[in-house]
Amino acid sequence: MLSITDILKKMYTVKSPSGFEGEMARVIAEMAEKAGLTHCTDALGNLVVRRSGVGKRVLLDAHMDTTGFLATYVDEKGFIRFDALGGVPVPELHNTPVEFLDGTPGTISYEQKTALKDRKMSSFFIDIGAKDEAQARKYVLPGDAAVFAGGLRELPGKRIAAPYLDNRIGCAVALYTIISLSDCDFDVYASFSVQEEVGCRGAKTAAYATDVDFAIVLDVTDACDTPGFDGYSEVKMGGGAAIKIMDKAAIAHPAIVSALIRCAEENKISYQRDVITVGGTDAGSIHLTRNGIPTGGISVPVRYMHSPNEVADLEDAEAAAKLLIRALESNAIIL
Amino acid sequence: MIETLKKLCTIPGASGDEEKVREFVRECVAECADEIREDSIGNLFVLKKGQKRREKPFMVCAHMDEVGIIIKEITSDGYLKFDFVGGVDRRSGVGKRVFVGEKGIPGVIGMRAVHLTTREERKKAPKLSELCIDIGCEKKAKAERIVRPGDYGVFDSDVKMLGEHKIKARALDDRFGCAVMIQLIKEELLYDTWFVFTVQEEVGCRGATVAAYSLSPAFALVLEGTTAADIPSSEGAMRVCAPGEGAVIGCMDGGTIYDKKMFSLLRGIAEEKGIKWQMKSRVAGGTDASRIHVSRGGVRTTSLSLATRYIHSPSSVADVRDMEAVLKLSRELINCEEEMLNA
Repeated sequence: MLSITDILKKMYTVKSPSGFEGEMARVIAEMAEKAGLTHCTDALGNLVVRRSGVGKRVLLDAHMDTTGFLATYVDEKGFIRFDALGGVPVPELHNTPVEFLDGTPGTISYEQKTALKDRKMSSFFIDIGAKDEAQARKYVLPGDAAVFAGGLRELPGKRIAAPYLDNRIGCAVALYTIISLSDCDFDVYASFSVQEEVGCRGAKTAAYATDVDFAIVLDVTDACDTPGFDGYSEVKMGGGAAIKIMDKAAIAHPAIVSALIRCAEENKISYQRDVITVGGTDAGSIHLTRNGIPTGGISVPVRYMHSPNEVADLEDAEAAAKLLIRALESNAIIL
Repeated sequence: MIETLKKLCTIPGASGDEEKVREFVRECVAECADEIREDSIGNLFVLKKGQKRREKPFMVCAHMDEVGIIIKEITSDGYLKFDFVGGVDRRSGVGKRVFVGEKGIPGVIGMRAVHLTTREERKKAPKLSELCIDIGCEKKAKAERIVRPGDYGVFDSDVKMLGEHKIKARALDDRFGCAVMIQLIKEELLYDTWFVFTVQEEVGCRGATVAAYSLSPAFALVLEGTTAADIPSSEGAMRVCAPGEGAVIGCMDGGTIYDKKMFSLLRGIAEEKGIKWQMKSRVAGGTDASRIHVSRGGVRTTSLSLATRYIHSPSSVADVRDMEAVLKLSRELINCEEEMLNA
């Protein structure tokens, strides 16, 4: 059976910036199919995998999009102007290698005349090495998307570094969970949602269509344990599954929070309490869908969020999956 | 269509005050619509039947409302304190003529003259507290007889052709979209199509939120006015889009990533039929699509926009040839075979 690492490695074979998740949906659907699960795709591109059950309906949501860049203009010298897909670290973008979806490599640079502190998105451009506009247009047209270049690197222990662990690691937890569930009454839907990074848009339609009794969002959270990090939470990388209590966009349903904490303690699964007041997740959209959906979340701590080098600990992801599987199989969540 | 647009651009209709626009639209389409209904927020739904029906509705929409003014207070000496409705650059308001209230009372937006302001004050946009509307009344009691707090106002701006192809008016955003829809309703269509004239777009796409919910369409086409900045102070990508360069096909803006297949379909049609089209070179603004595409289980949504200079000011400028391009592309898209849309 697939491990979380196997799933992650498959996911790193494709690119999936917001609005361009089609390839990722295909890769995930293929893994789900091999495990005997059914799936469908909606108008926005959300991939919903289902494991039928006789019990209550539950949605596991993990967004499969990443941040990225959208080409908007090719200038007469062949430099490409772009805008952000989601929250990218604007002043730090210079000299960063990127790759367009078709593999065309480029480097982000900036107008030398602009001081570092004054740099806005419009100060940056992508240099693909074209000699003029005509040559550039053979490779890139307005509307094409790019992402940070670079794949998955393995660090000491079970730690990993890569761009876009947000939220491929959450997707891996969700897929691993729905594949691994054995003795489970719940009717489980796993939505690999689109367009979270541009405003949690995909989760709105996925939650509406699946019409579930409750939802658990699998995403990442900031690990505040690096030198000089004036952190806003106690969450540490390696500290276990981060059980969502509150983020900027949602307050987790208290019954789900207490059920998950109880389940973690009973099963000796390492966990931490996740309270953040910066940043939100799909939970923000889901809990307000239809007449309200009780929603909780389990996150994996990640360092250097939204940078080209995010770092995470696979043991945290494994703890998150183990907690979710135990909670679902033992019917721990009663609303 | 241009004559209808010219009339539409003279009707006041700030967000929340769309009634006069709605009544005009109703009159225009009364004879050729197959069904007309209005919802609680004020959206006007018009069904035009075609030869065939789609499995789920195709919704075309444009908003009736425009940016404007709302009166907040009448001062003891008869001036009107106000706020803008929707996104208006306060710098574009000073010295402008307005119409306020039910009867369209003429007034001007005033502030202290240049002689009486400091250099520092002139560096910044005036605050709302520095602006007032002067309707020529000396006393509060007299002003109250013709204007009340809560009354709406709009800029007083006539419709003029500039040069051969450019049209100047207020509210081209989005009366142009309304004019295109009225034209399409008058034509023979291949498929049943719902045309929705929405309210309150300028204050947060509120009308479209409920319109999309109640119609529950499979596809949506949003017709909008969008930001052209092809003026001497902008270069390259900062020009965004330009009147005369064709219909703007939506790729991404601040509120929506538009459906990729519908984008390709529109681009293909434009190229095959020789209809001029362009893209915006900046991701900015938002349209009713932002609410429609995430309605219920999701709606495949695209947009065709009119490149409009000085948008949201009393005098916006667009190119009538681009309007024709939007009309042609809209017609082709709503007449598209079901298989083409689903391909």
